[in-house]
Amino acid sequence: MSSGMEWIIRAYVYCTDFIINVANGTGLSYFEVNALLFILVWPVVSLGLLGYWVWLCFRYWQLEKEIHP
Amino acid sequence: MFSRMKYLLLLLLPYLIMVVVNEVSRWQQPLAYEYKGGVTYGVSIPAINPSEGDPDRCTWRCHDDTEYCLRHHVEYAPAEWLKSGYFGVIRLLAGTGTYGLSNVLLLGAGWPFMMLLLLIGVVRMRRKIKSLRYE
Repeated sequence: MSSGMEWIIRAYVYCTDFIINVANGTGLSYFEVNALLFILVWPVVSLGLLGYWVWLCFRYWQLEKEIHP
Repeated sequence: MFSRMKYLLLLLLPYLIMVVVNEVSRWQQPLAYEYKGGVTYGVSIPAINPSEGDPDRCTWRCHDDTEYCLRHHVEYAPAEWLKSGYFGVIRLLAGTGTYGLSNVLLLGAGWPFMMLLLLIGVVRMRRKIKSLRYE
């Protein structure tokens, strides 16, 4: 294995250890922390931000048309 | 300049929290462990948690064998759609052929960065609307 790949795997192991530590620290399980984070919270936050940004762009376009017709 | 520093701090903050949590956990562990993901990667990597299963807490066994984690550590059976989503993401990442690399790139860097970009976009657009109103 190349040393670059080994460092990627080290980073992966470090990140996974973090999820295990969070699970043990919060009283949740590894499965629950992963599922909450990557299946619920992140997608909801990402879609929420995207939707809000699109709405703001639309609002900006509307306001600009009103102010500079 | 201040704004850029603020965004950089916002990007780095989760990684700082990860380092603090991991290093405190490592400090509390009596032993140094290795993740023997040799089957997948052909190397042993220093790890903070043991590879062997423990019914009282999560270890690398929960990563290697989700059913073990579900049997011993999950109090209420998860909804089927949640399990499908979970295994779907794993299948998607494994399908690339480089599970660890894809995981780090997508979940460890790409997705958080994309959320930060979206947040910056929202903040900037709000400022533009505000300035337009007070024109």
